[in-house]
Amino acid sequence: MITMESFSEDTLFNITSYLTSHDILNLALTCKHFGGKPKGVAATDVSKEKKRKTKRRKKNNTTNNDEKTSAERQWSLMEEMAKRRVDATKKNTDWQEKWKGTDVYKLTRRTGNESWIRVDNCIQKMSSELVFSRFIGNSFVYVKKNPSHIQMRRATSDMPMGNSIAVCQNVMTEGRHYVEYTVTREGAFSPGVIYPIQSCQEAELFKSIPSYEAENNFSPASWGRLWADVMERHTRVCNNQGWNASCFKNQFLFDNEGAYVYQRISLRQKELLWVSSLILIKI
Amino acid sequence: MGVLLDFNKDMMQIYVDGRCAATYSGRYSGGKYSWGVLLDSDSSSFGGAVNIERKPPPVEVEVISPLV
Repeated sequence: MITMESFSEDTLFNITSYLTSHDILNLALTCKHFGGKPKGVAATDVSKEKKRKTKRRKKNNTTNNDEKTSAERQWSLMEEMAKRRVDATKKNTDWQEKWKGTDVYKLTRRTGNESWIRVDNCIQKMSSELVFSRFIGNSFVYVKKNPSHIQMRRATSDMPMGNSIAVCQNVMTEGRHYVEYTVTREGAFSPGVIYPIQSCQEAELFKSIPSYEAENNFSPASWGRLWADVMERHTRVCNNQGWNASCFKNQFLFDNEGAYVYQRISLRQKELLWVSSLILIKI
Repeated sequence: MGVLLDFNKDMMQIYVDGRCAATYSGRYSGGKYSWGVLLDSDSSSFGGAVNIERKPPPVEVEVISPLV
């Protein structure tokens, strides 16, 4: 009979290579065999462990170099699997070529107690493909079912197009992150960073933003303030002046110092024209 | 257009054609952010499309017009 304990670490590594870091964490939480630290530090325990491994190896007629070190490691079996994933990722030449010189390339444990599962999770998060996982509003669709590529759709009488946000799946809290937005067809949208929007209630609030037509009597100054206020309060779009305080129709931006920043962002096919970029106009 | 979010330096930078076009700072540390695209209700924007891709940040750091 085959039990999980009879798996070599190599076999287990092959299995866990199909899992996410969250799955590995869940496995670590299932039992002491996966999640417990080896009894290992005491000399007697190490020798017992080594004897047990040697006995098992003879019985199974296997040679496994990794098992020699398993009794000496200071972390759990699943931590070891995560560490191997980190090592394997960093040895991948394609990955090295793509990420050399970046934070993710140098990412490792900051302290001796930090979890390898966390390091693995960070590396996967920082180097994985980005996808737009959430649409708020009804204006976006995927291009050819590619979740990294979105397109605005035409409004119909049944479904008018309103203010919309497309949000990526990952949440960033530390480190350095860089993305490129490539405009493949001209349109009027603002790429940037955004607070993660979780609840549908926030989505409903976003739809309630007043339309430009209804507010035409507002001066540009009012527009800036209104838009900033509404966006900040209802959608918690980030404090980037170029985004949350923008008045797209009049192309005015409002910053926190009471100044207007005139900015015209014209998005054209395969390029972004940053016309008269960021000229400060004091009021 | 590239966007760099740097929690270590507490700033965000916008890159156009590999050159830094704008810098915003002093409000990112301790927060949670995600990438996103905002679309206003102007129907003339129909058909626009944008692709997002994670990449290493550009090596050249040239601030053209820092705001902060």
